Amino acid sequence: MGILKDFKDLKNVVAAAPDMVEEAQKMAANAQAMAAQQQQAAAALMAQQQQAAAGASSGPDFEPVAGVTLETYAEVAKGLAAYNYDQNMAVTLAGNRGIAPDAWQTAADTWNARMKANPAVAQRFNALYTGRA
Amino acid sequence: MGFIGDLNKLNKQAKEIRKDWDPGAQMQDALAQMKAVNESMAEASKAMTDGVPGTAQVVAVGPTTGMLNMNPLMQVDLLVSGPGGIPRPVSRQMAVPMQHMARLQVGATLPVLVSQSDPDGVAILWDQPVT
Repeated sequence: MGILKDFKDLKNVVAAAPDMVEEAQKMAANAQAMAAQQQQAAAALMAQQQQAAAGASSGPDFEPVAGVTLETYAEVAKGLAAYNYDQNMAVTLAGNRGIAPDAWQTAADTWNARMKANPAVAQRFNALYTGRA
Repeated sequence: MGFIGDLNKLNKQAKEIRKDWDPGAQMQDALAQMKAVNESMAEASKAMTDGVPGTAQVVAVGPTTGMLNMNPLMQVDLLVSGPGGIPRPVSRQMAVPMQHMARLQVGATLPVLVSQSDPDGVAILWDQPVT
């Protein structure tokens, strides 16, 4: 290919470049605006989920089990952190709160089942455990 | 416009672009995100090494701005249950395989490995069903 053709192509590329840069700038600005809107909406949704979890605590699935409330269950579960999450310590921690081993086992099984069946219970437990309630 | 004029215009555009460019702030944001993802991956690696099977229930999901291996980085709150069954909240920024995004719904249960040496070590087994 001849050198004159190369120069001509170079001139045409340089001539087209400013418009392309301008369009790219516009696209970047639009993308940033869209991303900001999506981030804002997502943050609001996540906050809404957490707020709903912090507030929602009524209905049959939130009734105490064998005298153990969801709040107590979350407190005992959180207490396991001091024992490197040794689950065997749960009976002892529950016992310190006056909960008999049988009652604790029933409560733990039922609360776990409720959390799996009802996401609102799981979200509420999460909020209580993390202190966002 | 002539060749020199076009070059001048390009030069002006480059200066305009550089005016609001803050590479330091961008580096710091990227570094914070890299740290969070690296931490998450290190903990997942521990779980892959010495983990025992468990489940994780999705409590909350939110996107971040990053991608890793073309997979979106997501902020995920989980309730993780290992042996013994008492759940524990774990919050992670993780890369979610694009083909498994549909599984990441609030209330969904995912199979995981829970590290025995590090209670925070959790790896989601995206390719496996919940057993």
